[in-house]
Amino acid sequence: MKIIFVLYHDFKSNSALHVYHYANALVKIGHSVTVAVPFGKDSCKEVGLTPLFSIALFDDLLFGQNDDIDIIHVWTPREIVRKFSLNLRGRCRNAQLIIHLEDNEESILKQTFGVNRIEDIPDDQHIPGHLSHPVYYKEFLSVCDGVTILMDTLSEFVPKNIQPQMIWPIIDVSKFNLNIDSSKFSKKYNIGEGDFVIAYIGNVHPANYKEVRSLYLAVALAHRQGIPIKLLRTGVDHYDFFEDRSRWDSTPFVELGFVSYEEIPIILNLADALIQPGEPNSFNDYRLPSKVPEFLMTGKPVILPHTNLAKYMKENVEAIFLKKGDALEILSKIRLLLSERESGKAIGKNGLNFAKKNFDEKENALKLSDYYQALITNKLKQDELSKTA
Amino acid sequence: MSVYSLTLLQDLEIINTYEGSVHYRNEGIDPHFHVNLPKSLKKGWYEIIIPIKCLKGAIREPKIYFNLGDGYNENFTIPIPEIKEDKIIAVVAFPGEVKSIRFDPTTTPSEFLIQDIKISKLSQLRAARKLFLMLKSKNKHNTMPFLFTTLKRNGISGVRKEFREASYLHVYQHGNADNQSYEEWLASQIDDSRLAGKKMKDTTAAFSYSPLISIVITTYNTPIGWLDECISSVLNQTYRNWELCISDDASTSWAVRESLRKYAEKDSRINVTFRKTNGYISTSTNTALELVKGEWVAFLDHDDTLTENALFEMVKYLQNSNDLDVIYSDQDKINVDGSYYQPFFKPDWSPVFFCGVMYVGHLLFVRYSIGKKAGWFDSKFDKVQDYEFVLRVSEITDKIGHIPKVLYHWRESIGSTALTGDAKGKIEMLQELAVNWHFKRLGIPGYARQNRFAHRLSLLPFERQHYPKVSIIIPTKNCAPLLKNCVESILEKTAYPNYEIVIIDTGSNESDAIHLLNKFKTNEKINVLDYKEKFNFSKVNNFGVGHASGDYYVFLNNDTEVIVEEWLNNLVFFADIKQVGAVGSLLLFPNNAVQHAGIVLGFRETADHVMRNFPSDSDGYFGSLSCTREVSAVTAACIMVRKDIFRQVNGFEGSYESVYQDVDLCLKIRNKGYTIICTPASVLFHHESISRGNDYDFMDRMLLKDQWESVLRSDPYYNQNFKLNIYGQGQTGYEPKYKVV
Repeated sequence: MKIIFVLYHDFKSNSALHVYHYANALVKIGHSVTVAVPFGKDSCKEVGLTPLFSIALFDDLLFGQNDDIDIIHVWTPREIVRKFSLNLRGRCRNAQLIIHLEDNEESILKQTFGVNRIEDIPDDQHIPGHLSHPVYYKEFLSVCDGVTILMDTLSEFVPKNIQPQMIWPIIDVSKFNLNIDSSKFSKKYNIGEGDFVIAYIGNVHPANYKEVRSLYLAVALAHRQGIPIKLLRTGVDHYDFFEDRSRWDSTPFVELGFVSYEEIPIILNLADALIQPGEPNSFNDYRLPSKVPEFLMTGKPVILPHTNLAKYMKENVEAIFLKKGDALEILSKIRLLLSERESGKAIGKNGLNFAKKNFDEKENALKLSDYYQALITNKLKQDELSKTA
Repeated sequence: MSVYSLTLLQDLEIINTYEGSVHYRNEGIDPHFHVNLPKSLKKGWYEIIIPIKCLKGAIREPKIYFNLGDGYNENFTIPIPEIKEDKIIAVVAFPGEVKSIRFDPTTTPSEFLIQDIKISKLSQLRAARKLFLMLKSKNKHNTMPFLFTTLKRNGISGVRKEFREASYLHVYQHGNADNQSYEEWLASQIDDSRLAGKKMKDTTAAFSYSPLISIVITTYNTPIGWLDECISSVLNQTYRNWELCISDDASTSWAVRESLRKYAEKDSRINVTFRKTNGYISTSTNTALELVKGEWVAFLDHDDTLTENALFEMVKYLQNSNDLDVIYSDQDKINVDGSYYQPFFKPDWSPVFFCGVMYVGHLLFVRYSIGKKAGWFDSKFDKVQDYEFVLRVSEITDKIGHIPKVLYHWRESIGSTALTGDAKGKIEMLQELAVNWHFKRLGIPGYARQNRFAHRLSLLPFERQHYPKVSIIIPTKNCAPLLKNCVESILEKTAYPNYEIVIIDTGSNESDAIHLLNKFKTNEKINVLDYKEKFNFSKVNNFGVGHASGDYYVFLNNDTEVIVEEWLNNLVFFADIKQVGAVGSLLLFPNNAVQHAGIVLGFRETADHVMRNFPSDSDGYFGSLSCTREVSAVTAACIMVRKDIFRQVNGFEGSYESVYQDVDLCLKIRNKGYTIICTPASVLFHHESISRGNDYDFMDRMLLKDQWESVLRSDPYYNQNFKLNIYGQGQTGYEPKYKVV
């Protein structure tokens, strides 16, 4: 099949990584794949990724040869994607249009415009390209041929006549089989012997600063209570949640800033536990943070909010759950792992098995490929029926 | 100079990127960026440079918003006069620590290129120099004489205006509301309502719930001018689904009767009944109530007026809370010259405070079915009939809401209590009677008694049959003189007969302290415990509870001293009320100024004492100091909690090392549905922080915010029309958001 993925941003967004892996995996099983971006054609290489697929700008595709495209798989129904893909589909007679949902788009709209209901967004409100239009996105969904969803809760937004396919992120397993000389890296990252190491990968934005603040506070409290602990942190702060950085004891924090994609597994492997802070809420319930599958692949115990992926996992068997996500709860989980190390190891091992089973590259690529094929077959049958009718 | 990136938040399309700059297209009116500050900017002068190149259309009205902790609003903006040479440059004085910055580039369709924002800290001298040079380049005059002339002619505001109008520069002027008089501020609140109404297009149709509101008035020889103003204020309501039910209580004035007849003829929504005999206010109001067809009733006195948005605000409030049975608003007074003054900004529903202060007042809305169930007004309580009525209503329902907006103007006239509290005469006796009957009906073993302020009641317990045991828990280390003073004042002055004192020694090593503790060990009322671990206020007190045998716990600082003998009796009285979770005392500095009279959420973005340094013999804000009231939290320097409630919330949280554990405890108690009370009937001295020093712990602050951030944004018992950004050593609290003359 000839498959086009359509992104709403370049390869510097988290979604892009999800697409990157699927695109590569589909190429490996024999498909021809192009990823279309609105800008930043070189961004894939800039972030250190090695694509097996081709990359094109929106304009390149609109004016290129399109008859043989089988699948247009758009990542979110956001305006910039909607406009482009409807245009492209108009030029591709046979292409099946599939929309991927990875967030509660309405929740994002409500937060952005500060309203409680979608209906309260004024009719004449301009919607920028990186958001979904409150009305048009539903129309867009109603004219597509298939829908993939990142989390089952998103099926709430899928038209009734479409059977959605849930697709989770896939992981490049090879990156998690490094034999690491821990002592060499411990010194580099200022980790003392006996330190309990937690790693957090990610930037801080206005949308997630509270969750990350809770994590930092939990570590600060643990340190204050005499627990030898270190938080290895990568990413950039776009929001100041410290209030006054100078009043935090910096001892337990190792701030690494932006690190390359290749370095991340090394950091994850150094940790004793990995954490995705947060709590069940209308935002987290509908998403699957892209780092969590990678966390699970390390074989370390993972602490995560009791929602989205956690619903498919066994508490204290495959992962440790957060119900409130505040600092005191995180601290209690840290204490739990410290006091029950062997249980922590078992949880990590079970989490790894869960990850291998559910984020396997080939299996998921085949599942998606089968979904595509089913849609195409269905379309052919319908075409046949309408010819004979 | 520091360079900060921008994150697009709203309303712009990305067209392309060029070597770090981004090409945006704007088709909206409110595009904006978040400036990625990795840490807050300190108070002071800054130069802000934003390179921005307009490619199509025009960049109009760019603005910078800054957040000092209360979010973004129009009071904290820097409008940029114009862009020159593809750059926005602003010289700004931030009046406080800036948590975040938002940049709104334009309000018109355009395309532009922008990359980042550059911010440099300036010394005052450098800032002054920049401002001066720009003014000089703008003006052809000799600048210094020009400035002196401007200062002389137009004052400092004139000088500021000159700097503002110089291109490139903007000097931020702090807090628009601070410069508004009360009437200007009130007008702006009504304007906001009007705008909200316009946004809803049709104010009545846009509401999903638009009940008929019956406004009830009783008249008796009302001065015609005032009657006209009163009825006009109803006719001018922006919410249209109302009826006006008037009972004329046998006015002897023909003009009044005739005026009412004409109003009824002109507008079918106005119904008037003329009583044949004068029944006085309760009877006449009950007559008017017979005309009511609405689901809700609002009470209006014949010489008072409503703000034009009164009904609109009430119905708007009901959209999200239509299970309420009673709603009241804030109010102010109409002066003899017709101006508005002395607003009363009320707390949310506070039943205990209401027993001491007739604070609900106007504007009062009651669901008809509830009022009818309560039996409407009792003429035995004429003069305080509305107060007594609300007491009875509160026995039927606790669904009582409060709109923190001035919706009612109370006329100042001879005979009205608006003018002087005494005007109606014998008010306090009736008030006492109303509360005493209310207590009796509720089974509360206490009574009300007028205190030294007009219309204020103290709430006091009856003599008890049974005195449950109280454990007074006092952590201590050294500080022998303070501890001696504290314990001896308890032993000598406490009238309450059944208590024990549990002293927890957290490592005293001074000989006088050791000697004192040994002496205390011989007293059968005192239990002295040793605590060997690292000091943690929460853990120490929790440890003390483990050795306490009382049904009530009082956590007491060792630097307090009993003043009032009934202190413990009065704490137990309130702690016994079913819905009360904790009770705090009035604490005084040795100079008799207030040290603690309750804690307000939101001060310093966390919580802090209100009315600190107020004279202890003052009334406070409309009785808030002289009467017992609900608060969000009280200090653990003296707090009583029932044993069962303390266990329910798992005691003090041990992760707080030195401060805020009391606020946390109170919020946990409130989370379980209980209220917190502060009573001036229990008074102690507090020699604050002498024993522990000033050990404000930043991590404890962050923990409180982590646990309770959304709760800390506002305080239901501290009206939102008061400032929260109170700092310094003076009197804290009850400062309104407009300029007080």
